Amino acid sequence: MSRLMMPGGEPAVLEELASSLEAAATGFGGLARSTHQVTVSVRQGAEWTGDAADAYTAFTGNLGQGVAAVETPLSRIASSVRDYAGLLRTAQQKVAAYASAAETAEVSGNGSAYVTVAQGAAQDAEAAVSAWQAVGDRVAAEVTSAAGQLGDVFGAQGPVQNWLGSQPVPLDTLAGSPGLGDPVMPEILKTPGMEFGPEILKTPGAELGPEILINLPGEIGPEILITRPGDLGSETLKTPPGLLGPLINYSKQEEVDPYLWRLSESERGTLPRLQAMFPGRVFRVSPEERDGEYFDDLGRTYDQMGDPETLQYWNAQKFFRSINNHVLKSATFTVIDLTGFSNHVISDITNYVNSLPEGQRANIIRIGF
Amino acid sequence: MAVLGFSEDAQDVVSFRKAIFRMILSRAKSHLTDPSDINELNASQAAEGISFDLLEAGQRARLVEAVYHGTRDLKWEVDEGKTTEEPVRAGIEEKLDEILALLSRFRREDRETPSR
Repeated sequence: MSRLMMPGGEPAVLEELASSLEAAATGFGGLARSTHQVTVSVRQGAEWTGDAADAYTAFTGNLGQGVAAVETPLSRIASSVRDYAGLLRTAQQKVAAYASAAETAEVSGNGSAYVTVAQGAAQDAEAAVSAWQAVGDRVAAEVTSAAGQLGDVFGAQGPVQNWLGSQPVPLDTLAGSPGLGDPVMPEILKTPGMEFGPEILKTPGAELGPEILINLPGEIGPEILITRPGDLGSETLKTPPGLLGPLINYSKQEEVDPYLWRLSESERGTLPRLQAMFPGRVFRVSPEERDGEYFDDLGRTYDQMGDPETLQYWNAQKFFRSINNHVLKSATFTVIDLTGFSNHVISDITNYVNSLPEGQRANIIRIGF
Repeated sequence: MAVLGFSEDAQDVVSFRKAIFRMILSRAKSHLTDPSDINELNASQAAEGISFDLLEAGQRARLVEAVYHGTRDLKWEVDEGKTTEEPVRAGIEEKLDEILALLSRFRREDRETPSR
């Protein structure tokens, strides 16, 4: 009779471990996929574009890549452990069957029929033990390989280190600049110095709320980051002329018109100048298309004209006609803001506006003339 | 605001936000091939409006067509819920309909009086 040894180990415990590893692998995969899906949903649903959106996507992409990279090696290890447990169980069953058959043959006085059964059981058991030993070697190699793969994931060149090492782009505040503090609280960030106008990053009031970053004066301001109200994290990041240095969290609150993000740069620049000209009024951004750019506390609307960026195509006759048409259609006032225009253009427009009938001139507000 | 006008009569003029104007013009340019027409739209953007009555008849007809189709393109995108390059406000559909109505009226008049 063969001298087969019962293989050691607890298949049930190994299968439980395999189940745990499979659940963990699935969880990593799900996290990677859901991170990607949430990122895509945020960008599409919130119409989030610009550098901040790109940085956030890259950030979560690295995160997703790192997390997803864990799924495969964990699954490989789980699968190998499950295979090993199955063959171990079979080998143990076959060896037990052989032991039983051998005992029966011995009790029978080694009757030939019983001996034949026991010999067949011995061959089955030897084959099962050989298969178990072979899979043991393969599982060891597989686990070593998968562990190496996991090491790659967490290693210096791996996606997790890339993810951990990735920093938000400079001034990309919503992607997670250090120093933002509690992201659910209203905050204001400003560029120190203030020579070229401050930037403001704000979470207006709400708990999870949108942030608004605006350069108030609008002349040379380095960046405009705006998030429409009511959305959880939709941002628009623009960097018009250039960077003026890092943002610093001054952590104070200041009211910002929630519709300010809907204005063009020139229109946004005119608003504080208009407010400064009429400090007794309260100007707000019109929320609907049919109104002008702004309205005041008396419900009067204001159409804005004047964008120095368009001077390369300057045509006086067309601009004058445009003034006429604006005055024709403006519900209340037409604001002509010539801040940033050249002196000769300002002179031409001044002369033209002065030539208009008194009734039309009364509805024109002049800024920068 | 920006304005599209066919005369100095208020009923021949429509005003709307410059953001809408920019989006219409960018789409209108895709319907044009003559560089002078495209340059005219660039000049119109600088003037914050198009005064079609200041254009010679041929260019006026081409630009009316291009702006009409550019506006329709934008309206289609808005109707389909597509994200536009600049945000739109409540009431955008009505405003685009108003622009299309004015352009349609003068497209028809241009066809009926081609020498205009």
